[in-house]
Amino acid sequence: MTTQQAKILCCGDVNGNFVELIKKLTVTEKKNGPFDSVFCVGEFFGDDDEANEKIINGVVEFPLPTYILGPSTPRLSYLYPEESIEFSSNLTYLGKKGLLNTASGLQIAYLSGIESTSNDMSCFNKSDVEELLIPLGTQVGFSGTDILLTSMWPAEVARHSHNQPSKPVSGSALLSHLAAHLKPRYHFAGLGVHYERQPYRNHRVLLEPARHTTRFIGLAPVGNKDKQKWLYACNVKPMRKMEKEELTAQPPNASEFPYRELLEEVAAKETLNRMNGAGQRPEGSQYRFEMGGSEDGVPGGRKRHNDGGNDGPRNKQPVGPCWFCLSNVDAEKHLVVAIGSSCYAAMPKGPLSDDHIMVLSVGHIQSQVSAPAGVRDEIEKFKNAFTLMAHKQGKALVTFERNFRTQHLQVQMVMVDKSSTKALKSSFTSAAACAGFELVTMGPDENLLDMVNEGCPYFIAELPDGSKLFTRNMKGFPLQFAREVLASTPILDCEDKVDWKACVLSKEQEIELVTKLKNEFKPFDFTADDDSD
Amino acid sequence: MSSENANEEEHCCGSHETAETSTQQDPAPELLVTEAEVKNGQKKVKIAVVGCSHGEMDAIYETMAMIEEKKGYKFDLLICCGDYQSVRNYGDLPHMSIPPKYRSLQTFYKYYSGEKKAPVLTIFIGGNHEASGYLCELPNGGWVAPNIFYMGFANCIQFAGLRIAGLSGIYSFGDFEYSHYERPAFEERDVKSAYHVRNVDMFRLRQMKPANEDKSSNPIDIMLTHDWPTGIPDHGDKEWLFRKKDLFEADHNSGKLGNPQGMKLIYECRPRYFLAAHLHIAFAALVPHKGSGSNRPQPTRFLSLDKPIPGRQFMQALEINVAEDAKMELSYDPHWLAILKNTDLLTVANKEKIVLPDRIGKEPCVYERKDFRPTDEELEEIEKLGDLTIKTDTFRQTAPPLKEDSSSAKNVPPSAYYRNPQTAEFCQWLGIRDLNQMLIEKTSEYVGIPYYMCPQSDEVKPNQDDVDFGDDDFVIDRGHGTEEPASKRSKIEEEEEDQKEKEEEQNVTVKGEEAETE
Repeated sequence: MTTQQAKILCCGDVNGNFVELIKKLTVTEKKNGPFDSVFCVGEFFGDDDEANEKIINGVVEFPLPTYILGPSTPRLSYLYPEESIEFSSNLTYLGKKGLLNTASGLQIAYLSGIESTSNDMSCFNKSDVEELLIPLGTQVGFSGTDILLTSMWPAEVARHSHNQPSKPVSGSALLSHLAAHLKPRYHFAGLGVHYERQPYRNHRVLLEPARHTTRFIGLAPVGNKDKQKWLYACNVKPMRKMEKEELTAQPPNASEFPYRELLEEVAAKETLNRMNGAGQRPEGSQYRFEMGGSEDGVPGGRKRHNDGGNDGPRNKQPVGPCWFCLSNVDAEKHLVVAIGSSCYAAMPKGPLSDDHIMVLSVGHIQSQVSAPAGVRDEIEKFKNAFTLMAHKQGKALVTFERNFRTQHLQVQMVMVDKSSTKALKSSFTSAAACAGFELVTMGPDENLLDMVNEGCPYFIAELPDGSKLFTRNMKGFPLQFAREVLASTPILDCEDKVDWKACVLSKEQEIELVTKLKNEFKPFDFTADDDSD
Repeated sequence: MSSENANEEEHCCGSHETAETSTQQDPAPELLVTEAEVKNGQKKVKIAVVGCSHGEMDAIYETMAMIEEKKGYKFDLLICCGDYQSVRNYGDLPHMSIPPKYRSLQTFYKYYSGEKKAPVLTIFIGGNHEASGYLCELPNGGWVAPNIFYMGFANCIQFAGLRIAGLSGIYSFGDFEYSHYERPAFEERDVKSAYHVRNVDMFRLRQMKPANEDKSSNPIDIMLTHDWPTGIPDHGDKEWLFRKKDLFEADHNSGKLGNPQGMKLIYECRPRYFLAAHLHIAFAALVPHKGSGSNRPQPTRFLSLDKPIPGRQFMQALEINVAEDAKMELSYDPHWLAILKNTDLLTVANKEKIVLPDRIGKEPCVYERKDFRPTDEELEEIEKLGDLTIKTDTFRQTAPPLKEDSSSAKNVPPSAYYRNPQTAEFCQWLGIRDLNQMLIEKTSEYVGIPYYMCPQSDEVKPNQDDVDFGDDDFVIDRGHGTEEPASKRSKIEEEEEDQKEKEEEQNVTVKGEEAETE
C-alpha cells in the first residue's frame, strides 16, 4: 500500500477457461509476483453451466484478487446479480459499470457489455456511458483515470496508428466517446484480438497543453489457438501520485488522438437530428456529445479551471432531470422548507420522522467534498439552525451524507430524542460491523476534505456530541444504512420506515408536515434576511 | 469498580475458598440482594451466576457451598455464561479450540461419569472454549450430566416462572450467516467456526419480543450470551473499563468489542438481566428502554463476570422475586417451542448460508413470512403437547466416561460423534428437524455407538482405523501437585488470534494465591 506503484495483471476473455486461467495466474504470481490484482475484460464465463455455477458459488479459489466485468451475451446474464458481488473471497464482479478506487491509489473505470439499445444486462447504451461520466464532471481538475476496462473495443481505435490489429475488430462509438472523456492511461478491452496500439495523445500538439497519453491494449481470449497474448502485466503508478511532468511525458512513438473524426461525426449527426426534431429538446441533454470548442474533456475543449471559487464546471447539469436540482423540483416544490443562497432545505420523500430534513445544493454538485466553500458554509448554517430547533424541542440533531450512488449533494438531518443519544454511536458502529465494514471515528482535527478525494464515494455521520463517523469503504454498504440505524428500536423505533418507499406520505400529509416544519424553523431561519423572493 | 447507573449491581462478589486470603484490593466479598424490593414473605429464587467457568466445577460448587454456609441459605440455580468446558474424557479435548499445550481435562468429567453430582441445578451456554463435539450432539440443549443442563445453540427456558434465554458462542462476521454444519471430526477450521454465533439463532431469539405492540414489559427475565454486545460499555463506566483494559477502547470505537447484533437483542427482548462473560473482567451497565411513567419497562441490567481465579469477581448472587407457587424446576417455554416449530426450515445441516426472512436482499428465503412471533394458533398447538417440564432423568452417557484420570486414559483418539437420545426425543416430541440426526446422516465416518447402549465396553471405539494423533497432541499442562484444589487448577491461556480476549495481566502460571498480585 505504501509502494508507489501498483502491480496489476489484465486478462482477456476467459470464456470459461477457468482452469487454464488459474494455472497461468498461479505461475505468473510465483514467477513475477506479487501482483495486487487481476482484471478480466471481455466475457468471463463460458458454455459449461456447471463450471460457471461453481464459480458463482465460490467453490473455486483464485490465487489473487480477481475482478471481472459483466456478461456480453444475454445467455450469461443470469449468472450475475444486479450489483457488484464477491463470488468468493478472491473473485469480485465489479458490476455493470462504475469507478473503483483501489487501495494502491488507482482509479479504475469500467463498463461491461456490448453497445445496444436492449435493456439486457449484457448491453450498455448511451445513458450508461453518461452516468459513468457524471461523477467525473463534478471533479475539479479532472485530468483522467488510470485505467479503463471495457468488455468490447472502442470504435476507430486503430486510426492514426502505425500498427494495426491482426484482423478488424468491431468497436463501439459510445466507448470511443467514453475513452475520450475518461482519458485513461491504460484502456483494456476484450472480445477481439491481441493489439497493443501505440500510445495516443489526449491533446492536440501545440494547440493545447500537454496531457498524458493513452495506451489501448486489446487482449485475446484465454487459451486462444493462435497463441496470442491474453495476459498483460503492468506497473502503474497512480496518476494522483505523479508529478505533472512525469505524467505528461510523451513517449516517442505517441500518435494522434484516434477518436476525433468519429466523435465530430456523431456530434454533427446529433445536431442535425435536433434541428429536424422541430425544436424539440431530445431526451437527456446532449452536453457530453457537443464537440464545439466549449466542451472540455475532449481535445479542443477549454481547460478546466481549478480555482474552486464559483460555479463553473462544478455545476454540470446531469443527464436527464436531476430530482434534486432546485430548478427541477417543480413537481415537489411543496417539500421545500427554506431556500438559501446556494443551498435549500426540504423534507425528503418518506421521512423517518416529522422533523427529517435534507439540505441540498441549489445547483448540481455531487457532494460536500466537491462543493465550493460557500455551499459548505451554508450547509453548516443549516446544521446550526436545525440543531437549535431540535434543542428547543428537547431533541438532538444527527446529520449524515452518503456520497455513494447519488449524484446530487444531500445532507440529511434527523432529530432524535436526547435520551436516545447514548445509543447512537454504538448503533452506527455495530450496524457497520454487521454489514462488514468499519466506521472510523474522525479525530477532532480531521476534516472530511482531507479524508477523501473528490469523486470518491464516502459516508459520514455527525452525532450530537460532535463526533464524526466516516467510511470510504463502500463494499457491502447498505444504501439505507443510516435510515436503518436511526429507525432502530433505541433511536426512533420505527423499523417499518427503513425503506423510504414504504412510508411515502400523501401530498396532503406532506404539505401539512412541511408547513409545520416551516413554522418551527422560522425563529432560526437565517435565509429569510437575504431572500426576498 | 463503580458505575453511577448500575450501582445496585456493584457489590457482590463471591470468590471461592481462597478469596479471603487473597483479596486485598477488592472490598470484602459480600452478597447483596439485588432486587430492590425486600419484602418479607415474598418468595425469591436465589441464583448464582458465574462468567467463564473453564471447567472449574469443583471450585465453583465449593465457593457456592461456602457462601451458603455463611449466609445460611441455599442456592436454587447456578448459571454459567460460557467457556464451560464440558469435557467428558481426553477424547473431547481435540474438539476444544485451544492450543494443545493448554488442553486440560479440568473437573467436569467427574460429573459426567457419576463420580460427583452437581449439588445445585446448573444451566450453561457455550462459549468459545468448549467440548464442541459433545455440545453439537445437543443443538437444542439437554443434560450434559445429571443436574447440569446445556442450553443449546440458542434457547429460552423457564425456571420458577422466570424466562431465561441463552445464546451460545461468540460472534464472527465470516461465519454468522452459515448453518450449523459442524460436527466431529472437525475439519481444519470447523473447530473454531463451531462456536461462532449464527444469525438464525439470533433471529429466533428476537422472535421472543412480545407479539403485540406492547413496549412496557420485559418479555425476558434473564438473557445469557458469552461475548458482550458491542456498545455495552457506553452504558456503564467505560472510562474505568478502558483504564483497566486499554486494548478494549479501539475495538469499542470501531464496533468490534463483542457481538454487533447483541444490543439489538437487548433492545428488542428487553431482558431484566443480561449476563455475559468472555472478556475476563467484571463490568456492569444499565441500559434504559424507551417508554414513560408506568409504561416504561425495567432497564436491562448488564453484568459480565471475571474468570474463576482467586481474587476476581467471578460469581454473583441474584435474588429475584417469583410467584408463591413457582416450581424450582426447568421447563420449556411455549413461545420458544412455537418459534422452533415455525422456523423449522431454517435448520439446515449442510454448509450453506441461511437467508433470514427479515433480510432485505435478493436471495429468497424459504419463508415468505417475515415475523415469526408465535400466533395464538401456534401457541395452542404447543399447549396440546401438555406438560412442558423438562424431564430430569433423560441424561445418557454417549461418549465413554472417564472413570479414573490416568496417563493411559490420555492415549485415546478424538471422540466420535454420537446420536444423542435427548435430541431425538425432543425433536420427535416437538415435531421439528433433528439436527443431530441430520449431521449424523452427512457421513457415517466418526460416528460412534453411544456408550449407554453398550456400557460393558470401556474402550473408545469410533469406527475409524487409523488415528493420527501422537503423544505430542496430548501434552496436558496440569501443573504439579494434586492435594489441594487451588493448585489443581491448570491454567488455560487464551491465545487465539480471532477473539477479543486481550489480557494484559500476566497470569502465566497460577499456583494458588501468590500469583494474584495485580
